Amino acid sequence: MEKVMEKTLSKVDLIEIYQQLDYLYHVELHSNRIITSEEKKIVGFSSRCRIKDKIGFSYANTAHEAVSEALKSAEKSSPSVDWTLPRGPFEYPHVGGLASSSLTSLTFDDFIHYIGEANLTSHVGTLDLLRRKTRIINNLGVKAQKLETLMEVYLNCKDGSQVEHTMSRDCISIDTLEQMNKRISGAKRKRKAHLAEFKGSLLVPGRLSHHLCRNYLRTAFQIPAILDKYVLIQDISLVDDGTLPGGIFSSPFDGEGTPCKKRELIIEGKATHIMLDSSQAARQHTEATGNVTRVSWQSSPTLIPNNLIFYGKECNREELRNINEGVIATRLKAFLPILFNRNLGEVFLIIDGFFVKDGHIKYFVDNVKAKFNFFTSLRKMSELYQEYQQPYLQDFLFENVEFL
Amino acid sequence: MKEFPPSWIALAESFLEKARHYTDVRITSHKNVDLFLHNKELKQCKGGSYSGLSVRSITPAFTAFACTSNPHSQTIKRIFNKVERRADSLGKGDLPVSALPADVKGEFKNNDVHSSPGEIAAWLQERIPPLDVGTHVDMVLRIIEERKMVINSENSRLYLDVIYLYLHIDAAYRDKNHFTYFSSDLGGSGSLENLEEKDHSLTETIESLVRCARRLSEASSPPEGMREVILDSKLSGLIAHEIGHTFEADSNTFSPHLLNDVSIPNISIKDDGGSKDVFGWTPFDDEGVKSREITLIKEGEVYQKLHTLQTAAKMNEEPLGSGRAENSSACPMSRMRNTYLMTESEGWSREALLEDSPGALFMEGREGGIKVSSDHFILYPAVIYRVGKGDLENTCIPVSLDGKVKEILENIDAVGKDVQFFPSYCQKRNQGVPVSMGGSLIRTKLRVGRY
Repeated sequence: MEKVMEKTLSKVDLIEIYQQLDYLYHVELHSNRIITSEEKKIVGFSSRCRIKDKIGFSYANTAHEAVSEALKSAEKSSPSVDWTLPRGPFEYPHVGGLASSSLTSLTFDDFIHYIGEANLTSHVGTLDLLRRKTRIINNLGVKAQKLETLMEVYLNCKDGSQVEHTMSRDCISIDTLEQMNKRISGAKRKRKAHLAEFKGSLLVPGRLSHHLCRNYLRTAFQIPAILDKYVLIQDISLVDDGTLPGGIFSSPFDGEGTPCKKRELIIEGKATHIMLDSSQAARQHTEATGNVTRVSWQSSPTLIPNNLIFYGKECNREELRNINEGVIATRLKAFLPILFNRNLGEVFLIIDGFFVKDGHIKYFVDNVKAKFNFFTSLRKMSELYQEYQQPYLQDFLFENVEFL
Repeated sequence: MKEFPPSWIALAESFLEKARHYTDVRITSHKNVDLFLHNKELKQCKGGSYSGLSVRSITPAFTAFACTSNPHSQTIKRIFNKVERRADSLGKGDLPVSALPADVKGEFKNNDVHSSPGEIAAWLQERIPPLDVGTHVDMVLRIIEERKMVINSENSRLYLDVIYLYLHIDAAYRDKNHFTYFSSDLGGSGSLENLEEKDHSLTETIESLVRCARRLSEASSPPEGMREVILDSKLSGLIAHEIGHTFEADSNTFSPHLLNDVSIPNISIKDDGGSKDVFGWTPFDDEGVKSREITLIKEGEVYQKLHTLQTAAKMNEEPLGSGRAENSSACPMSRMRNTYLMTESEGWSREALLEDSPGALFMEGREGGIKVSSDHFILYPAVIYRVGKGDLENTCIPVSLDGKVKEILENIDAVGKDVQFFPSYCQKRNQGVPVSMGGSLIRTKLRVGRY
């Protein structure tokens, strides 16, 4: 990568090369038998460059191809103002457990053995193990490299609900799989497909709440107009922490090579910071916030929050589950964003979950449509806790939710 | 785009000769170029390429798959050994011979775009009509060059060299009090001319989108509740496509039986590889099966399903070319190709249908849609009109449409005679493949404005 960059320096003002090397193991289980195994090794490069005031982007299997196509792309594009890359070198924060896990050297045969050890009794499920090596360099002094391990498990319960969990780095363990397995075996609740329309509470457990939260805040917290506005009830504050030890979205640096940080997005209901990439930050004469992500090596970088932690209305999980009437979500099946405004926090979800009355689970329901406002309906959240062995996931309680 | 190195093919063929189980190899290469235009200005040009090789060994009980983005003799040898070893240890038995694509040969080509991205942008710019104050047009043209080879241990060898084109157009209107827009997607294969609609030039299409965007600024709210509606080809095509998902035999939403007794005389939903000029043209699938027509529903009867080799063997049915994958790094799944809803009898002309439907709501274009469950839809049209005396009158702002699949189909009392196709990308388990969906005008009953 360095050699390719050096050869290009005379032709460009700015250049960045990103490399991603993925080892992916995937297995599909059916009645405790492995029916599909996939092993992938994929290496890809992407490059962004600026020639005078023109910007180029391209991706390819080799660094050389990615860079030469990015140059061609820039030549054909119209001038674009104020685009830049982060200026290094940076000192990156230490984020615990990134490459220390023994799973970083796990082979596919070890992985199969590991699944056998956990003795999964699910009817259907999938397990994915991803080992990813990422490198970013640019001609402004950024040089960053990391190794990550992530395991994603989906197991279907007999009652139709689903157990899903993402484990990162050192949190991957057979114990976790066994706990998930136990939960599946114990699921024998009766099922009801349809629910009459009502207004009530929606409890979104940690692993789902984080997904929902990142999705709905990603657009709102890119708009400067949100600053100094009250977006949550006044007792709640929100921190985005990209360096949280053990957090699924923790990393020493983001998709541009900017160090990840801990920042308050909302203080007592009022929006105080937004997310900025290096170009936006340069325009505002401030620092980038370390929130840039790349969906894959083929995608242009975009902004998204890292680990989100809410403060101010925490209570314990049992208290939170004491719902008068409502639904505990077990699966978010779809977001329906069309005709809904994410900037204003309007949410429309299709969920599976358990109908709860007077604090007791009554039955399993699927395909329930829930309509609410993320900002005004969020009333309480659980304290930080560990689910399986993964730390720092909060449950959310939304009130005045319309169930359709 | 470069040809596949002959050494990769020779090596793969030598391994396939010795394979202990049914094994196939896919070599693919993709090159995408995206052109972003604002009015007549080319704002950005970006893209990239990806190539790779995958090997798959399948038995009735097990599939072993491995791929690499860096094929050379050592890696090809390594992944062959891996899948063989896994199929030996985890899969017992072989696929029934009748289910295997054996000795299938063919070479398919539809790549007549030899212009540079700059020339293609100029071709588009020429077709943008003069725009009034307050209106503007944004376009994204994606040019996808795809080269694919599928060879298997049963002596099959198929090759495809195609160019797919996908054009997204946003026409917008802005004045002091309004900002409205209207979008449409056009697609085709092989040459730029195939992007244009049958009866309209690209310029006419853009002019009509701009008119719609302007009309939306004066739109009123539509009447809500259960209403008689006419859905255009884009919406009926979307319904056909969403129903098609319940026919994918490897999917957890596989439930064609739900539509087994639905009473829809004269209506069929079919899926095929498409003609050479449609977006997503699939002359053969990623499992080496040549594409054939699949009739999903015919006059209320469930006929055939969308299979992979494995599901076809399991259900003792025939694979008809619906095992597709995004690229060589993805394992094939049962997928749609070119799915459409049509009438088997003589259909209505648009004029006659409007004449016969005073007071109905005419739904045009699709902003999106979703199948909430295997039996419930929510659709979002791009614009709604009230039907007057044989013509479209008041423009209404778009609101949601929803209903039960069975009810929508059973309430169809009139079907147009012409089928129009539209391009789309279908997503399933993080894999996107180019597809077309098509349909005729249909008149039915739906709930308007609930979501």
